[in-house]
Amino acid sequence: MSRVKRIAKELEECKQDSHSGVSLKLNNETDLTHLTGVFKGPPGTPYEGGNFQVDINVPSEYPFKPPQMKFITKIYHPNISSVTGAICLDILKDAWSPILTLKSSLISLQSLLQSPEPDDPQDAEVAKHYLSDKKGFNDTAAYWTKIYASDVDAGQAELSDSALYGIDNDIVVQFENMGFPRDKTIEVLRRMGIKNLNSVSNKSETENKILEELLKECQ
Amino acid sequence: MKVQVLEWNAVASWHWDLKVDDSGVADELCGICRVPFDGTCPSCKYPGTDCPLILGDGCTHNFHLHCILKWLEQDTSKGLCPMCRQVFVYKRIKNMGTSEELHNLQVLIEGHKAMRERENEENEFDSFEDDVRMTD
Amino acid sequence: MLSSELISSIIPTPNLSDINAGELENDISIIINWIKLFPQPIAEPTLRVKSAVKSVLKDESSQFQFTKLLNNSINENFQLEGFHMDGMNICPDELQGADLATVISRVINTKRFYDNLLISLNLNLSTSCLNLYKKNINKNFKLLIGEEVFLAKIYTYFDENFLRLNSFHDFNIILMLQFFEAIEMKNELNQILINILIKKIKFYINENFKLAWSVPILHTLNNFIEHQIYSNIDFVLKSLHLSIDMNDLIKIGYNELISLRINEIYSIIIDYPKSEISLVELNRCLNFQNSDNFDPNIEFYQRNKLVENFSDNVNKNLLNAGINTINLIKTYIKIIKSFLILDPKGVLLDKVIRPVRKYLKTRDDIINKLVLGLLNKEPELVELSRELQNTEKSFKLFKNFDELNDLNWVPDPIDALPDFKKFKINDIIQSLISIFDSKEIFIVEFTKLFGNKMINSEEDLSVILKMINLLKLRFGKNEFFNLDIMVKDFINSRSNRGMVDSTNLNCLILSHLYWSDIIETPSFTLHPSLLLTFQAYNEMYKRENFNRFLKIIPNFGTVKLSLEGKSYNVPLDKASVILMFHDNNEPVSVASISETLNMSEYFTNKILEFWVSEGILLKITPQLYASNE
Repeated sequence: MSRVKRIAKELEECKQDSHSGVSLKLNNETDLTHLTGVFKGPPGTPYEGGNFQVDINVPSEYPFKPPQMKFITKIYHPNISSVTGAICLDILKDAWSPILTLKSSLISLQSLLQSPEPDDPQDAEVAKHYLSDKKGFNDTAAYWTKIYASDVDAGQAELSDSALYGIDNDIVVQFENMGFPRDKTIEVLRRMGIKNLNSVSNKSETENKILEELLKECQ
Repeated sequence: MKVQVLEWNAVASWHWDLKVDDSGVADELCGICRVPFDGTCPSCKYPGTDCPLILGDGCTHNFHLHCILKWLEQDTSKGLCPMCRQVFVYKRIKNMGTSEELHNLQVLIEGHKAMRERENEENEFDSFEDDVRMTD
Repeated sequence: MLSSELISSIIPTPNLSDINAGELENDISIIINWIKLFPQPIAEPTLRVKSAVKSVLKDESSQFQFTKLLNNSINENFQLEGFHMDGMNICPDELQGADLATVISRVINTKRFYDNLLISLNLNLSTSCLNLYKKNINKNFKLLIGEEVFLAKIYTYFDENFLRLNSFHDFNIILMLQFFEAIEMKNELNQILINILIKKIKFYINENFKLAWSVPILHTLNNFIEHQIYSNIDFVLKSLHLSIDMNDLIKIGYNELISLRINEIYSIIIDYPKSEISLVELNRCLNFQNSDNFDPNIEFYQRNKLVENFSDNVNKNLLNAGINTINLIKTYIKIIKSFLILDPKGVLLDKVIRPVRKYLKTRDDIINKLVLGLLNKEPELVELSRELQNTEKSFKLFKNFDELNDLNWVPDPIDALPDFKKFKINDIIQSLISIFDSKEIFIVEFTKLFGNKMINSEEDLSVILKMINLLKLRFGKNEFFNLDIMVKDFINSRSNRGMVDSTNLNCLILSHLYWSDIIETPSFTLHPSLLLTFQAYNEMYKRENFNRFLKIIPNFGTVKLSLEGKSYNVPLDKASVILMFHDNNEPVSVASISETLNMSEYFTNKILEFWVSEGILLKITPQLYASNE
């Protein structure tokens, strides 16, 4: 009872406030406990220009327990699973307080996009990318934003499998020219955590290792 | 001329006397249920005596008694004020809440206090162990 | 595929002129020529005829050949000349002018002649051949009788002689009936009889029952059908070995009555409750099921027509700006009550009420009128408050429906609209409330109304509580939480009175959030002496209620004043203004009062004028007033 009353109040407040750039809507008019939140990617980040949808499930103990949130829109971020959209954010776990609201939680998510916490990652692969190659990370995150979070029809933007994983297309083409299938090449490179060869010190040794893996893969 | 008031049937409204916080503004909403203090918490029918407030002591944050009780019942609350995350302590004021409610509040606060102390001891023990390992 | 029709269209049917060669053909032709001598008395057969007969009768196939050719020859005759008898030709065209009895008897004689022809000629044909012959004769007569003119004549005859039918032991009638039976046209005759019955009953109903809505008539109608219709036709039916079920006749009567009432339906419902009995009887007619030829299509059609006709009238006569809201509500109630009599399942009501509901919703004053009606503040809608008081009835109604529902579940009637909900609209108040998507709009209105009554002490609390309890039964207990808080404020404040008896101040203390629709922002400040009294009260309140304080709401409440030996009960603004003259014989300026009381000069002036009119103050200049001592 208290949960429903409070959500209704929050929805009303959110409707009246159009400045925050955060919006909430019910998935089903008769159910106040399942909502979808939408907010814009913060400017000056690789998420700029994207609209991010978050699935919200309100537990019966709300507001004494945090709402369960996960990204519906695919996003490339150290604290968000690139596969499931699961979020690692303290206020949605131990640090929850009943004075927080669905709206303020979404705003917290928005600022999480602004300042990732790679030391407490949800997606280890993404976090590693972030720590090792900030520029490569930013390019990939921006690419994901363009592909998954933009109003532009995804079909219009050309989907590049290598860019999706932040892998330098040149290496993929290099191995493709040797006769390896593109998808296998990307898979092997992902597994080995290699995004490009420019920053690698012993380039030829790494190339040999990749070749070895690929030969095993393509037997 | 003499004007004498024989009888006066007045209409007035009651209000909680809320202490202003640091910024000089008294909060009007209970932060937990987001209902004005002069109204009821979600589980009460009548405002006022039946649905009293609890005033933070040390921090300036106030809540409906029933709301803060529900919050402190959660382990995750750790006995902290939802607003400022200081350990929640309240002002004892006569007639604010039934003795049963106040008793429950006291039990919860003490429970959290005991929990915190145990954690501190464990942490100290851990750091003691770390120290021992260091010296090895 | 070859069919007999196809063949006969290519190869013409043979007849006498085709016969020239072969012994059998010759013999047949001789016999038929001999028969053709009639209608002159048939001559003694010649030897040649006799030998021909002998040859024709010798075997079955010759007999068939003969019968076929004879039939063809007769057919040709019928087609060319109608049929004659005694030298008279009775072509169908002549039937118009002739006396039916004569015509019938002649037709019957002719028929007899043909029927007996072969026997009288001693032509001992086989049974199959005789049947073939008879069939052909019947076919020819049927074609003739089937002529519209002839049947119309029969219709008129029965119609005109209807009341005499039973006592009319006319030879011709019995013959005619036998004749119809003989040529297997009983059904046609039956149809004629039914048409006559319908005409008689229809005439009777329209003549006697138009606009007769306030008296029971079914009994009269049943009597008429039984004693004046059924008994008159009884004899005819028996003679024909036909039977019409009494119940079928009654059903015919009821269907006629239904048609009449369908045309009158709008006026009947407007006339409700005077017309109640006619609705009860119409329901009986609609549900009357006669023996085994019950036709669900007729029922479906009648119900549709009823709805259609009523709805047309509603659109034309009811749903327009010329009808005031109270009349609309009254008609709405009539529609519900009367249609539930017509069709207790509510399917028809559901259909006719929808447009009315949609229209009612567009009326600006509808909520206000309904609320006033429910609270018995609108004499024209006293019915609503009566409904509200009648809690027992509504519960019983629901209970009965529930039981019915449980024990004897039936699917929704086939003509129910897809979103028809059973029992949704059997309660008038419920039905009116549900015009709006939410009850809230009513709750808000009730809350305002009762709030105003309490804050102005206009109604006794016990009356208010009784009303609220009745409303809760209809609208749901939890819907009135706001009003419950207001009532509690009211009751608590009363019990405070005893507590603070040291002052002459009684205070109604409100939980302000729940009175926000009623209390307005104050338009002035109290006179300092009143403020002082209030502050003392407030201190006392604070001592009793820790951490709570009071704010005065100056726009409400009254002060009883003693002035120059007279006592006045006035609102706080008037009291505050006059208190400015207490112990003060100097003139006071409008501006200073306006400043002290934070009151607009316009308003201050108005109050000063009030006290002047009471003879308490004197207007010295437009800007100065003094006590009138």
